[in-house]
Amino acid sequence: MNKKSNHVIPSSKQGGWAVKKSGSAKVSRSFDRKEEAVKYGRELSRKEHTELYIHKKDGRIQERNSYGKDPFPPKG
Amino acid sequence: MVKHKNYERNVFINCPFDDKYFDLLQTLVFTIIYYGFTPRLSLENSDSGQPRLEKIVNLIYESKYSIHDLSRLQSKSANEFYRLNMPFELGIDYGLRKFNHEFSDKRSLILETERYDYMKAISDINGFDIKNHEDIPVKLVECIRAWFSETVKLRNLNASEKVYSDFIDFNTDMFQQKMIKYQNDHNTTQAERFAKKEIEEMTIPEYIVEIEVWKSRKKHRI
Repeated sequence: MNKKSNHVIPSSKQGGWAVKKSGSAKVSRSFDRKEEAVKYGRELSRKEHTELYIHKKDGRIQERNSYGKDPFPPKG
Repeated sequence: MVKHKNYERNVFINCPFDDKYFDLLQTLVFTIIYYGFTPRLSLENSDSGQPRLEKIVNLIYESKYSIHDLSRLQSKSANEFYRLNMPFELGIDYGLRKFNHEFSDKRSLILETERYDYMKAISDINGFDIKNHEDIPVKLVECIRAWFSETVKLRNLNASEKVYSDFIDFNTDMFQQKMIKYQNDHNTTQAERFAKKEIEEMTIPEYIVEIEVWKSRKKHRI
């Protein structure tokens, strides 16, 4: 889990969502709708071969996707 | 009267406990612990033998600080009742501070969704410390941070954006820890499902312990 994961989180705008890197307080990009943020987060994570965590409004994890070396690989 | 041993650090949380408010409650609880205080809620004790109001009065006695969220004073649909518990409990808290000099040091913060909403429902509190969070988690952190600085007089506080970023990292770390726990005996899909379910079913006391453990591990960072 050395590579920084990407996170889809609620933004500071009413109903808005943003994408940020783990450990960083600054958001990479903000969006009006969650679907747009998820789409961008997926593209970014694919490009960076990293994990994407999609959060709910309460902060909990809604979905996790790995686009690189999965830290939780399926057991073979 | 002997005050509770943790009186100086306790923050009584008076807020709605509906599903929608849970979106904000987790952030609220995290932020209070983050800044070194102890959130106290009626949900922390499920002793059904004790009347609810008695529990609340005890929490008010035991807490120097209180946060009253009045953001559900307005019903949103035709058949929905507006909520009266929060202003009632605010009244008890205010009454203790006002009429018992031993508790004149109590301090409180009132939260609402939109600015000046309270003027339409409970204008008597005009002049109290009232902040609005717009139902946005990071704005809620801003409100709490400002109150801790202005009223509680804490200094060198981390920025609200940093606190919220740490809240997201906490949620991720907690999820990963649960994944590791379940992955010993289950495949990834099952482990992920169990991890989510465990976090979803977590009670407030469990959640508080998770935050405290996380905070003690990250002490050097926050």
